[in-house]
Amino acid sequence: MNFSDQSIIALVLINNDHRAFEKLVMKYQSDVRGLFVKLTNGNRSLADDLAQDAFIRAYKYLGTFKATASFSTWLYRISYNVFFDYTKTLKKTDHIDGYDFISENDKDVGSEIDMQTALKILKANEKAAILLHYYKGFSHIELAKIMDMPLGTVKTTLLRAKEKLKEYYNYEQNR
Amino acid sequence: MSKTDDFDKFLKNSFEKSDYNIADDGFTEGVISNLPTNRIFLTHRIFILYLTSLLSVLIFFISSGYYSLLYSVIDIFNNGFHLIIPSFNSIFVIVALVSVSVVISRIEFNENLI
Repeated sequence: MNFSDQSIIALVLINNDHRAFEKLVMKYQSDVRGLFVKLTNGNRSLADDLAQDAFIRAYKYLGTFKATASFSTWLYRISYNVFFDYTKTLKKTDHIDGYDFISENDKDVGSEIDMQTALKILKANEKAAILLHYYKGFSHIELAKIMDMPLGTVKTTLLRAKEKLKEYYNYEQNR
Repeated sequence: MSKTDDFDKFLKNSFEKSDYNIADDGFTEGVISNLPTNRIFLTHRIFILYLTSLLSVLIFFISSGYYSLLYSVIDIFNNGFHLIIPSFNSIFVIVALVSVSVVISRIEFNENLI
């Protein structure tokens, strides 16, 4: 039987049903972990830890979820907050070690590494904006909700990040 | 097509190429085993119930005075022990508390679901 996200959330809220929540985790784990893998420059173990934090936080605050946006948008908002909180714990000199994970199907290993390197030059919020927009396909308005920023700021952040990436790729091409 | 559009397309294609499904490999089980076990979702409702009860008592105190409130509380206990016939005041207090609490908690609960 197929349950909508709303029905599953109702089951979790009413019965404190861990098995119902399991269905939500199974449904979204690949998307959320995929995003974290890219946000952490391919660091799979760190990505999994952060994804686990995001799901546990989602469970804790499920009672505050209001269906004004979809569950996935809400989940990505939590994921963004988890990542942002993580980056705040890093010192300025620290950086995220990446590259222990490369595309499982070896679709395009070269471009995967190149993209991960390119993303390294971006600040945390710029990287998140680029990934949520171009990788996950969220609109500017949805991005503003996820990142809890005014629409104008989101557009500026995205534009700045794109300019940096453009510069990086031009540099690579002209080298 | 402008250069910006080209670059947008390039970014989308690059991410599409590196998009794939990640196998669960026990991840879900790990999350479920780390979930808190207490009934965390009731905290909002419990808070509202306490607040409503407090407000009901306060309103009753303002409208009927201290002695009515005191006797109503005594009556409630006496009724519990079947010592006296329930008085109007005690029934009023019980009905007010229960109905207001139920209505408010239901509104709060529905807001979370819909």
